[in-house]
Amino acid sequence: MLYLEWVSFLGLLGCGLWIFLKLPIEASQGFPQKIMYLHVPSVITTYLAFFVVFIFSIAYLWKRELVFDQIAKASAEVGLVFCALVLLTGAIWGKPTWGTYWVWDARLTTTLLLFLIFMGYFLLRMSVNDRDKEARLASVLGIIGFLDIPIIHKSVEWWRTLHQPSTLFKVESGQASPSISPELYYPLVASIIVMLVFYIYLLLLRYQTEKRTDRLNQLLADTQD
Amino acid sequence: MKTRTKFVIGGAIIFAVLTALSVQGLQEMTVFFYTPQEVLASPGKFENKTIRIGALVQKGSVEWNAQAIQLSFNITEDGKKFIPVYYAGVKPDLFREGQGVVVEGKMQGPRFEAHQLLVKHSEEYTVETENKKNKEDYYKSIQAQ
Amino acid sequence: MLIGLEYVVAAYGIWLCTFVCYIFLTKRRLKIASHAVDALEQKNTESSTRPQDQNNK
Repeated sequence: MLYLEWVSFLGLLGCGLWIFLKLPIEASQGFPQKIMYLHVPSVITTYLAFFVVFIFSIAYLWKRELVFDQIAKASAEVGLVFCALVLLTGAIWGKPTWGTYWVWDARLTTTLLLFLIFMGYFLLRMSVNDRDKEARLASVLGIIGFLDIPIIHKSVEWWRTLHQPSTLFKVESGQASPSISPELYYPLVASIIVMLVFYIYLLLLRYQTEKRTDRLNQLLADTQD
Repeated sequence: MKTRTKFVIGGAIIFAVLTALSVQGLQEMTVFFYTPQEVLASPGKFENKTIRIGALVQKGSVEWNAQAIQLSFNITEDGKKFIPVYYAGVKPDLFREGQGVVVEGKMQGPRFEAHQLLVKHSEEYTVETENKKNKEDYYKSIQAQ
Repeated sequence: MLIGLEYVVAAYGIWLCTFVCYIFLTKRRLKIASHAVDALEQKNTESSTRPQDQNNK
């Protein structure tokens, strides 16, 4: 885990240096385009984090092993932090590019909805005292909450939005063709990989904490008996 | 087993209601803007209503009066039908001819009086400064449906 | 000068500060919980290996 910590820290530093020292300025947006290297990897990490919640919630409901719920809970918290940063970095990018921090278009609204669902997820967990019941209810909400992600991702294709369609996952005549210059594309891919490594580090750190906290509560309950 | 069945049924009902409600609410949200064609096709429907129109800025139509802070330009979707737009506000940095924009305001006769002007960025990222964006591409990114 | 520098600084600043705080808080939670678990487990083993202590009380 210490190893992962240093790999992700150095990776993030390396990407930062690459982005700010080597990259040319994008033609139409200018300097604020650099925010893309935070925003897009954070989006993908949010998707992955809540996908992990989805998978481990199903696993918990199926096998009823507490460890699955601990992983789901850890991933949901990390995902929520990334989701908040997606909304913030997006808003900060929107001001110089669109001329506004926020609009109620389909992409932005469904992303805010995802954030609110997982805020509710933690409120639900806090409101239940029984650990098994907490896990059961949270798993159901975690599965439902994840279903918003395909909607978010497809919102720019299904509906008319201010937010532009996907650059990275653009498909033209059945072939993947990201509409971005190679000079800007490679650092984006690197940032995504580094941020996913960083996510795994955060997930493990948070999972350790969760395991220890549950063990502590167990011990406290035993001593009270 | 019984409680679980109840729980699943309850959850399914709540989920169904939420879905139905959001589909209703989404109707508004899903059409963030109309196109010039839609607005011109049924003027009565949009008269005296605050709406948003998304289109391209016609080349050569932009008039910017820096003293009076007045901006006027034509917007078009297909290069055939135009709506003249009048906007009393600061010109955004990224506002250009041929650029996608979303304007919010009201139709006043044949003219659209905007109180908000947003730049619709395309999904293309490039470093070549002289790269002129193809009108077809903008047309595609604006015409979501 | 770079146009829009303040937005980029704000975005990267917020991102970085968020994770510095998040990692700090999570590590602190881990440390506190670990110490408490160790202390309680040690107490439990002491009380189970020396049951006469409890009887004398």
